Amino acid sequence: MARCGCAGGECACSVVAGDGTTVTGSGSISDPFVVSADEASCDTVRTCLSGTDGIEYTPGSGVIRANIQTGCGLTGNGRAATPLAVAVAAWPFPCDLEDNAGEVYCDADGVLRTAPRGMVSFHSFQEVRNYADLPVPAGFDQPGDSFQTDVTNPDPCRPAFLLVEREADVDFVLPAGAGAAYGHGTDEMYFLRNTGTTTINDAHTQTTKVFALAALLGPGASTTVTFDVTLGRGSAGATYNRIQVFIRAMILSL
Amino acid sequence: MLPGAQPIAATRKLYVLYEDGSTGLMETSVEEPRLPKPGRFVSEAEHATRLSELRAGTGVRLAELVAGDEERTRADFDALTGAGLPEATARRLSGYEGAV
Repeated sequence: MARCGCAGGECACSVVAGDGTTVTGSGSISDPFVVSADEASCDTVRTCLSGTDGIEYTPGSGVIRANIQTGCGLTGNGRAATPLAVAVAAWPFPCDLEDNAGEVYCDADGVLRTAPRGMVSFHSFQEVRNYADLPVPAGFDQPGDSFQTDVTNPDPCRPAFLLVEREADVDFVLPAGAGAAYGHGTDEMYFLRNTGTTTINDAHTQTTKVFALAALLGPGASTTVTFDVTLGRGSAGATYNRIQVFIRAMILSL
Repeated sequence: MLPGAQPIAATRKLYVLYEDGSTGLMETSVEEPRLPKPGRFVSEAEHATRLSELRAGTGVRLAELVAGDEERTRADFDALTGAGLPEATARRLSGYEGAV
């Protein structure tokens, strides 16, 4: 081989074939060495492969297929006949699933989440007012006094249904023959006339009404619940000197 | 604890003097309740002072009414017993309960 540094003017280098190769030629210009790689066989390659998590490998046939192990909430193994799927139950309700079922969400950490939990909370307000023995007006449902409280929906996600309860109690001084009434707005709730011969001091009774607000209260929103305590049918010197009210609310967001 | 049930908020007492002369004693969890008619929040002591005035006024009026009741029922009692009715009957009809 030219310039190979061998002594005696002849090249003593030899080229031999290693594993998987073939060497032909003598190394002369007219017959150069040719090194060829042997074609790889399936039998050879198959022994180099193996299966691991989720992969099933059969060396004899060379078949590679999915065999995913599922945890809670998943079914199937990833094969065409048994695809990987979420494990669900059949819809058991008579109503339409698409119109009524809730959704499942994925959070920023890749954790599955359901709709936010509903809330129930309670609001209570009470006020006692005293007056300087004011005359009970004649007529029906006349202005007495007004009360109010602001109710807030603590749920940041859902609107709330407000169930409201209002109680009132008015203290009357009824001289002999006097009469007086009070009401919740335009609904007279209590009337008493003193048909005796002496004064009744502090005639009163506490009355209650429960109702629901027509409009839902938005997430985090507040509304003012008012209460007008009316007076009426005052006669023969009837007076009032105290009004006590409760305004309570059940706040339901489901 | 019921899931989703919020704890019931603590309430505190607030005292009000309204411009129309009435007093107010609120018990509420609302941080800054709004007044439905002109007035101002005051101390318990200031509220108690005005409440005493109101109650004293009621007491005076009540005393006048009771005195009037006494005078009227006594007159009725005297008229009834003068007409010959027994004392017990006269008391029931007149409502007079005082000494004879």
